[in-house]
Amino acid sequence: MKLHLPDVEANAKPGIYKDLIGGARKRGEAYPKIWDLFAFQPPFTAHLSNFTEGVLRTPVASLSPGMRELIAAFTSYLNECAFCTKAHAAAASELLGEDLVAGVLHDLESSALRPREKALLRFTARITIDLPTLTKEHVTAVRGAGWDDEAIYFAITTCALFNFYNRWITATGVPEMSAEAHRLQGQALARHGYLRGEK
Amino acid sequence: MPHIPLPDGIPGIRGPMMFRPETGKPLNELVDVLLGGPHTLTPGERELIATCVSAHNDCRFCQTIHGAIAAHHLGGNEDLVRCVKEDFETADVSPKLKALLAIAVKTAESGKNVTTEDIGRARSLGATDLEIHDTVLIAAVFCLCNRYVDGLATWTPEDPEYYRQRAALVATQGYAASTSPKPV
Amino acid sequence: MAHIALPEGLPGIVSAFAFRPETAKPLRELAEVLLRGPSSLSSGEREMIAMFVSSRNDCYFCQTSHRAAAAHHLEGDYELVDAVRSDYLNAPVSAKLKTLLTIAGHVQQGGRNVTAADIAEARAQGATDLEIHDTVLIAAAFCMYNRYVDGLATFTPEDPNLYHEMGARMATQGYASKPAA
Repeated sequence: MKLHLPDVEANAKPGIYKDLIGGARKRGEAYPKIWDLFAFQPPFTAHLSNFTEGVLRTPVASLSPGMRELIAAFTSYLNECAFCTKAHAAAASELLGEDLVAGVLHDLESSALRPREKALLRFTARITIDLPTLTKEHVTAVRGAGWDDEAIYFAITTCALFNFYNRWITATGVPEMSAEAHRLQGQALARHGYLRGEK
Repeated sequence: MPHIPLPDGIPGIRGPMMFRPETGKPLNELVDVLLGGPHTLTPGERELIATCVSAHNDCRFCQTIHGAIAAHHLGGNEDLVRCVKEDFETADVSPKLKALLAIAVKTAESGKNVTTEDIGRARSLGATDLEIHDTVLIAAVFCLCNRYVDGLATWTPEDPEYYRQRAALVATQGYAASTSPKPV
Repeated sequence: MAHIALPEGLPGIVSAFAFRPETAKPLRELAEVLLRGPSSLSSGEREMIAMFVSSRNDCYFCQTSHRAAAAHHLEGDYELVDAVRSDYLNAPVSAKLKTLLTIAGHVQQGGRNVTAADIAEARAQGATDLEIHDTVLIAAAFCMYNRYVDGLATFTPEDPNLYHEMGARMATQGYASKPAA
């Protein structure tokens, strides 16, 4: 399936993503077509890779990479972005367990998450679907559930980043991949993160 | 009777945690991250690791309370918990969990007893680095808790019903909330 | 080589801390309160208890780094620290510290080995309830740290200078914050 923007897809500039796409095509493999979006403008998409790696993988004590992947998947699910939901549900499953992640995407309230994690996800849901009603009191409530400001910062930033990604991906027409391709991709994201030679 | 004057009527580790809240806070946080946080190992599996190590260290309070919490997570299956404590290699748990329990028990004896073969066995059954890390750390943490509880001769209630009720509270509220001195 | 993929080039427990920051935070806080927090036991005395238990557990990284931290608190007196390690009952330390080291040694073997007589002797030498509590918990905590370090087969440097510097950092900058990268 093609992107909605064939000229973007046809004009990969030299760089790591062009190489990755070329390699996948040569082997006849499906690749995540978000790569075409990165390959079109490497001078600044490299910063997006770095930003994404920082948001999802910076080691901090307050919020694990697994929980950040879960927020990414949950945000993408609320925005009905199939590609991102599957990609980050797969990464979150690697880090937190498949049943737990599937449970959250099926129904947050009845999932196996503890009340404190549910409170954090409920807060990110408000950012995604009901931003104008969000007030300081909602932040205070998340703090009351046991999260410190660092954790809340990472949760907000992850959620905000995926609101960008979901719109970028859906509007350009990046299609979802097969379940197996997403599973392998999720494994790679969980193990190696988001940098592919950018520094 | 406890070796030092701990708060009256508070069983096990919670007595010394209330006696010294400055150390109680990080200890409680540590146990909460390891046993309560979202994880590829289920809460029941992680509680079984804690139970097995505490049984190996012969700490009655810790093995009873964590056995009860494990049973709570495992649909009330106290028989399974008993089997795991007696001989986890023949118990009805996954091969991966058996390999992790073997690492945990060796860690309890001495960290040096964990061999590359033990790690290889766990890995070949699908254990990730994080699962291996957390298994070693859960075992090490319970080597602390067991010694803390018994080294101060804290109160160990006899009534099994106490442990069942406490287990239900911890399993649903988590360690942080259920150890709060405030009523929950 | 470590049993799991720990960040390279970091020694001992520091590599395990970097692998899992969520557990590193409370582990660091606990060490900070126990070894450097306000207490009627000096940091030198508490570091010696940590060194002593780590030595009984045969954990090279912990005993060597806490030996250096203890020495730093004791104006560089490695001789005293080594005397405590090899024969604390005949080392030139206070009678009270000797009774606390006996308690720590018993905790290391298993909590049930601590007897009422151990506690009574410590009290007779002036130990307070809080000092007894902290001795039991320092000993128990090092039974944890030692197993964590060795159970993952973390990288153990051999250069004595490195431990000397590490001990100075532990003594002056403490455990709560990450060391400068």
